[in-house]
Amino acid sequence: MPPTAAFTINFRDFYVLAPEIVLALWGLVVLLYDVGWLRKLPNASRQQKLGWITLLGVFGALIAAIHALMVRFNLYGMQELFNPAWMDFDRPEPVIFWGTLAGDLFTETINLFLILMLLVAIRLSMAWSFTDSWGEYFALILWSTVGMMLLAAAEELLTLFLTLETMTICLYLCTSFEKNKRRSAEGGLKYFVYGSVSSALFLFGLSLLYGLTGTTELYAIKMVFTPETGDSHIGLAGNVSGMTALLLMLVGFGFKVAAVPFHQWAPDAYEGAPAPVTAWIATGSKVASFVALMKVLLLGLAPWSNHMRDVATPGWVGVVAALAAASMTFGNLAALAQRNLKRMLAYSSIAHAGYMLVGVAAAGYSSRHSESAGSVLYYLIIYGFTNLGAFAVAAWLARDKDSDDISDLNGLGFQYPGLAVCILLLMLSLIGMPPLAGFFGKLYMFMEALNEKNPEGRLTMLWLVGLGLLNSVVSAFYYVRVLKAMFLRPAEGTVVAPAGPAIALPIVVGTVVALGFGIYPAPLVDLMKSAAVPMLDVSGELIGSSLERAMWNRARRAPTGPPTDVKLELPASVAPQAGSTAPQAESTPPPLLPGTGKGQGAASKKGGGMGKGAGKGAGALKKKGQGKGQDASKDAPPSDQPKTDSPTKDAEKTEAPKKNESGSDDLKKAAPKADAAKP
Amino acid sequence: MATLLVLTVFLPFVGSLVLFLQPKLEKKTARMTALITALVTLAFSLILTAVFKPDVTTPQFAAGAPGGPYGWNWLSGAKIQFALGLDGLSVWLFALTAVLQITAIFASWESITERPAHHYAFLLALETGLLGLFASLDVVVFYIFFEFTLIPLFFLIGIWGGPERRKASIYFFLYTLAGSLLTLLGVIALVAIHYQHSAGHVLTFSIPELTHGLANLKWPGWHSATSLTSPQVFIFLLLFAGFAIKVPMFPFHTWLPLAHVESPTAGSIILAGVLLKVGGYGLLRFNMSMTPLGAVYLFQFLVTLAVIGVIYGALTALAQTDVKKLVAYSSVSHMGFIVLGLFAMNPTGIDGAVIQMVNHGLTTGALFACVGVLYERYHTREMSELGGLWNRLPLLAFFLILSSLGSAAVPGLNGFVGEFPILAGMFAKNRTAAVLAATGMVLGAYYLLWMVQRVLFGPLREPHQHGDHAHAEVRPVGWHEIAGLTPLMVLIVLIGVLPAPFLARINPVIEPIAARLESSVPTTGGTPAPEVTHMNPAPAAVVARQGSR
Repeated sequence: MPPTAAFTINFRDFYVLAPEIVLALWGLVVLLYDVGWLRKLPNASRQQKLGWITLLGVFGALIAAIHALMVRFNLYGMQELFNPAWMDFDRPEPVIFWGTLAGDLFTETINLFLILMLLVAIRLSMAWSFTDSWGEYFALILWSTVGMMLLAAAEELLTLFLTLETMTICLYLCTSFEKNKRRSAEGGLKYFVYGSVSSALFLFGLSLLYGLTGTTELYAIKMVFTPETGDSHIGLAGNVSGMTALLLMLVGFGFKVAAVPFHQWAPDAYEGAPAPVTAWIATGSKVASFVALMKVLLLGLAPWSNHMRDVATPGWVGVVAALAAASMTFGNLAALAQRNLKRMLAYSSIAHAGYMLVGVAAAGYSSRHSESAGSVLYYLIIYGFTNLGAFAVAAWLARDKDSDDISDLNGLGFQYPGLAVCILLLMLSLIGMPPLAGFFGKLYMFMEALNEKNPEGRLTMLWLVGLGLLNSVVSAFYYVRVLKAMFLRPAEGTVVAPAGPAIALPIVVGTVVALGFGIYPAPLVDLMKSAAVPMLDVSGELIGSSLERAMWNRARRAPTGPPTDVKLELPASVAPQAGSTAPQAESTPPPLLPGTGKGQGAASKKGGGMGKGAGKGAGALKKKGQGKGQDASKDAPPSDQPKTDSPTKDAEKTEAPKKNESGSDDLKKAAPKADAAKP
Repeated sequence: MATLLVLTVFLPFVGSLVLFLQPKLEKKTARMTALITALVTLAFSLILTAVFKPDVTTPQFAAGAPGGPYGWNWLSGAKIQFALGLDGLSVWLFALTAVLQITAIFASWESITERPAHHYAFLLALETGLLGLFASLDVVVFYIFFEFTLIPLFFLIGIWGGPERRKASIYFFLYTLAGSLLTLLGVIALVAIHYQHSAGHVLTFSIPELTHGLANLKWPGWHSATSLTSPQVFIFLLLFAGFAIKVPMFPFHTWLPLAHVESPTAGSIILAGVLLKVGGYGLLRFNMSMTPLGAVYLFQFLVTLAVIGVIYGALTALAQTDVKKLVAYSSVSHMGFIVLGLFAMNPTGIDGAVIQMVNHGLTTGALFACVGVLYERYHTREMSELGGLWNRLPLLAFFLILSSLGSAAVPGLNGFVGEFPILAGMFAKNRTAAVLAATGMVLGAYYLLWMVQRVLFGPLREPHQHGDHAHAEVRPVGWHEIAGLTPLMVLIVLIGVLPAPFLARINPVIEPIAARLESSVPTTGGTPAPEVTHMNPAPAAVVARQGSR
């Protein structure tokens, strides 16, 4: 490709990012307002005023998110109403900013849910006064949300790391915001120390991955690792560097989602942090981290998932399954011993991370990637809203009793029967009792785990699911303890005051979600399943050089050798074309930021049936998704190969017939192109 | 009729919601609301029973066409349907639930003074759970109702129960939940296996379709049972875990006495009368129908457990001094009989088991109601403190004697109609087990009559009244207690004298299940054929037929 390709910014990309931009700027507004107009006010009224101002900004972001969702995906004919020419909405690009961020249906949906959760969390923060630096507090919460939203959208390792850090650094600070309590500072410090160590390890893992593939884009990574022949699941047998990279990355993710054995920070941070912050760490950051985890594992590292369709072979599915089993069991058993509500919820959220990791393992192992991933997303959303409600209960106790033991709930059922019934429903949903949403989350996830045709791995998954269900029983012990305190014990000591709207809101919202999506889960399930398709589909706009790099890297690997090892020497068939200096070629990779012109090979993407498959670009690569409804893309007309002088094309030529026979879904996307190039 | 069925199932729930939203309601208004709701529900369920066609084997009153789909799409993507319908297995249990609800409401008529609105709300919610459970034709709907029954009973025991109520309610809740989650795992496994191996990869959650599809699965591995890890055996055990706890079978029964003793009278009536039947019903509906080879393979193990349950329950009942505990342990014994009948695996035994589930619901419900009447007056259930009450409460004596005799399987009353075919069926299958179980019958007569004798006969002995009741005249049996118990007495006699119409509706559904069970006995090579099994079906069947008529 010509090195002088125009370096253009598509301004539409900013429109896609509008919610994040609104939130980021609003954080500054809140700060300025705090030090400016509100400086003289007493703490309590400053808190209330700032809270409402913050909520105003969140509403703005919400409107931006809804607007973007409706216009870009043409819901209810919104596109006709609002379509200035420069926006060019006919082509909803799946990725923005040169493939670093996704702007697809999935991202928009997750943004919407994150903003809704943020709304609830901010309102909860206004319940009582636990600090006096309110401007900083609200700004940090807003900025952490920006980090979460971008993290969920990241399609590229560097962006992923930066957004992850944006999110967690804000949360470290928020954790230690209750300055008159030692536990808060302790929790923040532990969170920070653990977090920075794990971030360093995570970054090391990312760098290894970059070293192995020569690219940071998730989709390109997948392309590099996808073997030309046979099953696309190659696993990691014998691949020491790959295993190291994988394990290091799992340390980072394990920390973020609080999976055993990287969970040690969680109980202390959860207990020490002010309840609204705890709620936000336990829900928002977990949702975003899980999305990122799934993107990296299910998209970028999909070929490493497992070998030979068995769970227990080398690959990340086995590791994730082990993490899941450990998290579920340890989280639940440790929660049994807790008397403090926040600590109990902390351990239970470790256990929930374990359940969700079962779903992730299932999604990596099964052939129904997107359905499995969709069921995990469903669980994630339900978990987020119900846990916000549960932590609001802790906030209630912290406000009125200054302690948050489970026994402080005694007799609540008689004093406030309405809210107590709501809490009852939340707890039952967290146990997974039908017909509440938590039950359907577990049902879908575990059913997808068992719904696999290969008998080799099925038994392992059966054990995992069985362990998950047994753990649900264990979890019933401590959730029922809350119910017992509320309904079966008389009140004692000081009585809690009425909840007030700030605390009632999360509880009621959580209940409505648990009950509504329990009685009628279909809409959310369908939404999440269709959103999971773009999540696992493209990603990374493989324009020009990125794809070339990916192809070239793949070609370097021996096509005849065992598909599991990444060799660094060139295969004989490719060596002449590749030139005799492989290291040199590696040291001068194609430019990182190619142009985005329509004529370039822009990857198109099926937006879960909602996005219009663009495919206008001359060298459009159709990627065939795993979803059933996507067979159409297989028949995409072969298009012109972009003219390049790289060795890739020749390498492709030789491999093309093999690829056509392979029958692997992941390979077919490249096949038409190679066919076109052959004659 | 489909609408009527749905209405019947959800009417109590509507009543429950009304009562929930009026927590300050007075006792009189609350109980009247509950009673009217329950009576209308009973009337509806009686209409359904009356128009139930005896010879049809497919589910009736379902929304869809016969042969499925049976209901409304609920979760379109996952093919889960909200499907309700009744067949021969469920119709009598459905009606029994509605009948016992009346007894339960009358039993708490005077005794519940603390937050009565909530008490009746939970009772009605429990009724919806049970009605829906028996009527559901979809595994997910079944499971939802199955779990839903836990919550009202948890609160009924936990709030209105005796001194140990918190422990009892949590014990009950967790024990049942543990088992039912294993059952859920088994159900998911069944659906997944059906999806993967049926012709055309049909994903279905419908109970009739699953039953039919699993029987005709194109997977040789499914149709053989050679070890514990064979699919049918393994899934049988998973399903069994939940239902065995509900029944409760011998080693899993420990939650029952505690829950019964601590529960308020209404809770005990529903718990013993209907909730335990859920176990037997589930065993028949899922274990025996969907994984018959598991039952065949595990025959010896299961029958051993059942026989131990029969004898152990009877002996423990003998040792009790507390009337309620005695009745609770008698439940363990009698439920063992029912399981024994199911595992006889011939039409005679299963017929007996199904009718015995109804009978046991009636007699035990009546016994618990009688104990409630006693306790309300004397605030004790210790037999040593009671005696000669025949003179004081003659009507109670009548009810207690009749239900005890019914429970002890005296010919002419309903217990006989159930227990005789069970023993006959088991005798055809395994003589040793039948003979051992028969001793349980003798012991049953012994402890029940012994209880009747100690409480009703001899010189009058009454405990000291304490509290507000001091020196108060002992109330005679009130009209509400009579109204609650009379229907049960009528049914106890009616089924005893005229069992044919009841059995006629059960039989057609039993035949195919039993046929599958019997046909699968010789084909499995690895089945442990116990020496004690003497296959001699013809004469025994004749005996059984005569017995059941």
